[in-house]
Amino acid sequence: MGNNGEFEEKFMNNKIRKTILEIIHNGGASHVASALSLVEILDTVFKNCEIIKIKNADIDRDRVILSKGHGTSALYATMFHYGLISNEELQTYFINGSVLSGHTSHHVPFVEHSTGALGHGLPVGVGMAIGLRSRNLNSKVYVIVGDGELHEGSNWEAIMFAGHEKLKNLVVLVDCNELSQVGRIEECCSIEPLESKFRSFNFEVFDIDGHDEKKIDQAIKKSTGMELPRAILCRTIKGKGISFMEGNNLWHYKSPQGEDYEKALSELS
Amino acid sequence: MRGDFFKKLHEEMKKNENIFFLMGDTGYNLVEPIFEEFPERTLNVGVAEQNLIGVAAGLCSLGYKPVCYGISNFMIHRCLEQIRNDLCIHDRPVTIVGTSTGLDNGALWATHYIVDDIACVKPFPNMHVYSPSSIESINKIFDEVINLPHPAYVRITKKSFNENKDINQINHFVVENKNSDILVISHGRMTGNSFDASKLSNKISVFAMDKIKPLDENIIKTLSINFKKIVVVEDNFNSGLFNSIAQLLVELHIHNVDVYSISPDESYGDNIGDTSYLDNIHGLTPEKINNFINKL
Repeated sequence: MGNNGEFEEKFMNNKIRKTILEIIHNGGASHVASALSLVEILDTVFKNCEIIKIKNADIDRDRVILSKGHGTSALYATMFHYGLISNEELQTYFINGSVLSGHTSHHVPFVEHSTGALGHGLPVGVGMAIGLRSRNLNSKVYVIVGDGELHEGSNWEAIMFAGHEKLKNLVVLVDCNELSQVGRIEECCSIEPLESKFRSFNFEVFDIDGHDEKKIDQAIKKSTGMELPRAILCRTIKGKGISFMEGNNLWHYKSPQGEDYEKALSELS
Repeated sequence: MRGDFFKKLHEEMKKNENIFFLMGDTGYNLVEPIFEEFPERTLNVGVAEQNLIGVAAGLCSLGYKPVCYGISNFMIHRCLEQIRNDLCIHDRPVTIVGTSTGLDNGALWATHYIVDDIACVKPFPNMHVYSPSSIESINKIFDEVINLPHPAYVRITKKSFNENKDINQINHFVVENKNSDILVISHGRMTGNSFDASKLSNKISVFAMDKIKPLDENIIKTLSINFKKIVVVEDNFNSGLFNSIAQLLVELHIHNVDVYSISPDESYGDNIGDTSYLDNIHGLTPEKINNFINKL
């Protein structure tokens, strides 16, 4: 990608981040830092999907599941920028009477699965991948999980089974922002070494900078000749892009309002 | 009745290419023929019921009609959140078939017998709950659930009961005694016990309420007009069918019928036993059902 492409990418990511801030601010919602670490992951995943097939609900569409449902403002913001949610709908996020809930809801058109209770997206994604294989369809299933979410045992049931079944159409992207709700994952219950864990479960593993779209894209596309499910460990920063939110778990819950909101927006201009 | 279920499932899988069978490593000597005939539509996910339900939910995205099979305890309690979130919230047409119901596994004790499953799944929107009493009922219920665009839980007892007659409805009279004003309503294995109880007395009729949710309001209205006393017999805590019938009667302001429950006390007990032993403890044998009715 040339300088022009990188500029466009950053411009797009800034737009998505501004949208996240805007809808969280307007709705008085939480989880802004959890959403900001996801931006490059979601943007790259949707770039790799045929959006028209998603819009048409074609059976051979690629499927995207955001399993860490508390990052849903990033999903809705990205879907908006890919033409899957209208601005009118988007502006109802977290507002009474809206279907755009604080955790991902399938009542929002083109959302594959409602999440938020952690550890659900991956088993469902495995079922979709098996279904696609059974129907002889070549589409992919992308499941984005949080690193803290991997504490849930149901993920490992699904990972074990996906590896056993050699589901080469399954791509698991782990948003490794190193923080869960209360503090650092390493201090709570370590999930590392993730690379060798996934590898031992029969996955191909890529360990990359999760804010570098080029590297995420390469990890999705790279042809290795191995017929295995793929885990992409995206090393990210919680609150990425806003200096006073980066790595600060206060912004897991705190809603950006007043001066905080203005300052955050100014950092993205 | 597990064999009867698999016979029916095998027939339906031949006709309906969207049926996808999944199990959590349960069903030895029962599942092999369908795994051999339909390798693309069968999966043993291993002892991992949370994943089992999630995978089934995902298969619906490709137009499949998943049927999940396992021991009821693990199909319901182990993955209750998956049933609620992945199936019921999304209204996905997954059928859960739970075997070893009620006190079937009494000798293995409370981790393996199940008397609290109906109340677990009953409150979930979109969920349908069935408890077939007989071989005839299994076939009728499967005809319904395979076309049902909603999640369903079908609890199948190990014990076989054959009514030796055609049935027109899932909910139906097993014994219709026109001289009686006492009606036993039961489901699952308890319908066989209630049928045997009816042979000890000419006082009762027996009705199999094999579709527990949604409960048929019209049937309840009719039965409450035609009978003065209703005794609900179930190998489940009274939070099951009894609770549903009692609630419906209150909602309908029907006060002219007395309703009684014969069911295990709300306890997991300390002692093991086979079904005959535990039925005797909980008042569920034909003799004890008959004694209960004689005192009314």
